[in-house]
Amino acid sequence: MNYVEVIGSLTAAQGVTGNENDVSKCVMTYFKNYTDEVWRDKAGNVFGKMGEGKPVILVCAHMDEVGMMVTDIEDNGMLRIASVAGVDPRVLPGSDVIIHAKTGKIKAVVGAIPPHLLNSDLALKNAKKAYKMNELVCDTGLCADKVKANVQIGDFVSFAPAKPMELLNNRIAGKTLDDRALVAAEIRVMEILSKRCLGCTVIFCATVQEEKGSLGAALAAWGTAPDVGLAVDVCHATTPGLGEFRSYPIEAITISTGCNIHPRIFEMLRDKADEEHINYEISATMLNTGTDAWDMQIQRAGIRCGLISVPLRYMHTSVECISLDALENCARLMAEFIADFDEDWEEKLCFKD
Amino acid sequence: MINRDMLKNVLETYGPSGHEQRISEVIKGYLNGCCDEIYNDTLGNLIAHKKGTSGKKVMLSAHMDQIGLIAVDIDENGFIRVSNVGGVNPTITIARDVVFENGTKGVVHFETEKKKAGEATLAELFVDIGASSKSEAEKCVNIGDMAVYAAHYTDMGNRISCGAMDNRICCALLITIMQNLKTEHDVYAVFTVQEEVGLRGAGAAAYAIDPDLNINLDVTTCGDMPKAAPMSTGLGRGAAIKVMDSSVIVPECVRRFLVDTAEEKGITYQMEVLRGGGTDTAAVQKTKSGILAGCVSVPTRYIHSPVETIDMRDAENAVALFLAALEKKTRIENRT
Amino acid sequence: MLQRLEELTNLCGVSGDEGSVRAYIKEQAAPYADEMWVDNMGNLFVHKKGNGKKIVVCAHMDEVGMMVRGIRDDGLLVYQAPDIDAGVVVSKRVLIGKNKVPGVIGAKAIHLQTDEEFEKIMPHEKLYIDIGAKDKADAEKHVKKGEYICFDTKFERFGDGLIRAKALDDRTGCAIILEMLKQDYDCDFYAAFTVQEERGLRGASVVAYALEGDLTLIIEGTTANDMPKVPSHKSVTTVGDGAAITIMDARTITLPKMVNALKETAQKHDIPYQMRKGTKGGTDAGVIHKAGKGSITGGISVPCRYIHSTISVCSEQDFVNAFRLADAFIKDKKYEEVLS
Repeated sequence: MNYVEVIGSLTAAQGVTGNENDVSKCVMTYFKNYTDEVWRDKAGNVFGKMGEGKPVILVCAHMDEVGMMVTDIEDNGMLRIASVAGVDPRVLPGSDVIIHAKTGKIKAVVGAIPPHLLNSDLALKNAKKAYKMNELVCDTGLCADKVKANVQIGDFVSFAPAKPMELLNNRIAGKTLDDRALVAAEIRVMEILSKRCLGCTVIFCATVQEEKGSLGAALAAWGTAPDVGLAVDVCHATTPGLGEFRSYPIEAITISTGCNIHPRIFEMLRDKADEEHINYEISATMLNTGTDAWDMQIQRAGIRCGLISVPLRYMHTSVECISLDALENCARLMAEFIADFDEDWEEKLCFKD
Repeated sequence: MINRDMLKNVLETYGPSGHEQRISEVIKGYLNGCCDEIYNDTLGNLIAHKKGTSGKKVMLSAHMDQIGLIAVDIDENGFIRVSNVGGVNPTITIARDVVFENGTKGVVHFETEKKKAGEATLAELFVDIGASSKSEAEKCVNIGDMAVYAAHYTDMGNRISCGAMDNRICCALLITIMQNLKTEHDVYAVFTVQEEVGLRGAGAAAYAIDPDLNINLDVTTCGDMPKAAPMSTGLGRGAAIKVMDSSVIVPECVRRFLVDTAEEKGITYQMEVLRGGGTDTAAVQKTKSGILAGCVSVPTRYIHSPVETIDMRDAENAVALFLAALEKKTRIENRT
Repeated sequence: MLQRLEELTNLCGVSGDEGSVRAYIKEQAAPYADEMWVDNMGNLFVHKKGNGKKIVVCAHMDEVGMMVRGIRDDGLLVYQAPDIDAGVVVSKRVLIGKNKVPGVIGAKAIHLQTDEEFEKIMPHEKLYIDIGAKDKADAEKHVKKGEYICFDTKFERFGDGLIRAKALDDRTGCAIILEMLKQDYDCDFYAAFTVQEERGLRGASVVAYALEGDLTLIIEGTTANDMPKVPSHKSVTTVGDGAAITIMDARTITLPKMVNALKETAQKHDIPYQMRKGTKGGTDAGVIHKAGKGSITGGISVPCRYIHSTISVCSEQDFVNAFRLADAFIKDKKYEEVLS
């Protein structure tokens, strides 16, 4: 599997939180290369199932991307927008975006109202302050009548896709690597496992609406009632100026431990990584991990969760940066972890008090 | 179509979050005879069921609770200290009259020693019920009792104003919808409890009913007042079809179904994107392995004040939209 | 019961690491249990079979604490403490991990602080745990990243019938429920000892799905702000004034019929009680009552001062009265009035 190619086509598809149709079609096509059992649930989550019997392992990577929505159409046809989830307004001015209108895709740019034109002393004083969403407009270049005929309040707005850029040292940069890169890793794991004999059932899931309270993962976990839930997501890679132990080297994957994580699953992942000589760091937190694992854990009578993350720089921008070596290590670890389950799984996962 | 006497009665009935028994009884009175069964569940949600033949279950919902104040302490001079039930703004609560469940009336004021009204927090407010001692006050009010803004129903023609418009206007709509319903679907009208304190009732009802579709009715804010926060919705522009608020994104297929229905029947509507806020739709959507859920809102000015104001034409449009939508036989599915 | 409270509060059981508390309760409950199991999150369930309504009593096993977030090159530990006021940790002793490695939380000596620094609380980010290690490699021989950290506070009786200990929230509830397990009730009786309550009622989120109880009684340690100059309406509860009955908190409004049933039970048996005045905070009831089809919950608590710090204080009598109230409510079958 060629990561650049798969990530390229996954990130070219649109999938703003709450409107993941385009990207889900793309994911389904890839999933179908390795299994016949591919389906989509009411919420829009995409599933691909391999193997038979117990335990059932649910692997979640989210396919939604941060994006915006049209909130108002001004008299001159310019659009006002709001963040659907996770958008930093400061990265928006000068961005290429796409309006997903009922009648088709419309290209647009985001512009900022120059602060010195806001006609107040305060605005002048604040000239260096960051832009707020309500100071931005989305400009389609179309006349007002055409805009009103095509665009409706509530239409989704996404960042325009661009091919991932290949940087030095097998690193790539691009939009929506959070978390499509990990969906690509899921597909890679399917490729590895399709050549192996499995002692359990594994359900790969590309979830919706992670950026809006992990709705998709919660519903997927309820619907599939797995014995083990494994979330794969991105975490922050080290860049200058971050506090102690809050970020990780871009080349090392992280294995999480803490309240969100079942202690035995953490140990299994850690031991497997040691065995496979995988470069990893431990990420320890008592708090919400901010991933699909958090909501998965409390579905039904409780689900044992694990979490592997791949460090990523510049999260929620159009130039997110990740190491393909780390991504491959993540895929290897997932595959070996899943392949390790057999009939004595229940004993392995008992609490040792 | 909406009976104003019924609306007035529903608006004026006491029912803060967790204490919805009275309002539940009043609503029940209007539904007798137009449904096959009617009952309260454990949490107090009122559920009116009208059987159908299509094999599809539709849950319509509107929360019946209102915001209020809860008595937490009574001092030796008979002043009652309060805390909030739901999103109460202390500033606009000062100098208001309130009423407890047993009819005890009171007025709200604040510790004037150090502060101006705009600076006072809820802990610096108190209710004066006219008692001159603790023991006298305790004859009327106990710790844990709740008060609500006294209702002042103001009819301004097309527009009306009252406290508890959030969300009794929608209770009145749902009553009207049930009274005029023509459908082949199994319909459950759910008047939910405890929405104002965090969408606590709707999920339990949805869990038990397990509907194929839920459409909720609630109020939403307006942007058409002088210097209001930007918001596309306004009074008199029709029923608002929700796209998103801070709690939920309505699935495309559900909002498309509502928009198409409105356009087919020539019903005036507007789209709603709310930057903040939350509604029962979110709780229903997250139930079990997911329930398709949408929301129609009645645009309302001055939400969570004693003068919440709506336009009856928007409300009538919302009723028309629901009746038309339920008459349809279309299956709603989330397809790629 | 007091003996058990002593043993329970001396155990370490930070949210996510409740193993030793669970093991203790398992051992104590075993003689009275018809069945007992631990779920996927670590919640412990004890079942005493019976006829009639399914009644659940619930207390959480976890306590506030800290976690090792990383080890610095100089051997000092960086920690995380989401539930603890940074103002109470300086100059305290802690125990780290399964091996209870002792450590201290120090701070820059006051002689070296600027006037400005002296006026402010030191944030957790500027504080470190010192275990005496020479450097990172030395520290790693004893302590691992991700290990849990607990305050080193021992149970003591003091003052006029008071108790000082850590984790009174909610080992008081655990001790009360262990005592209830010894009683005979005419109902299908479940005890749920939950995990991760302090992390946002995480363990209890799955309890209702597993048990589908008709009524759940939460036994808690709750805030008592009965300090000088705090006006009565901000005190929440008062130590020594009796078991506290919950009306409303940030996560639950107790149904009026449930509040009345508890009040009437207390009055009938002359059990001293007070109404919990605060509307902040939350207990496991917050997620239990609205789970599934919804169920009735009620709350009885033991007032505790200085909750969520290294040392908290409660009254022996309040503790006993909380037990008496919970016990009488179930023995009298008072729940039947609430459930009818």
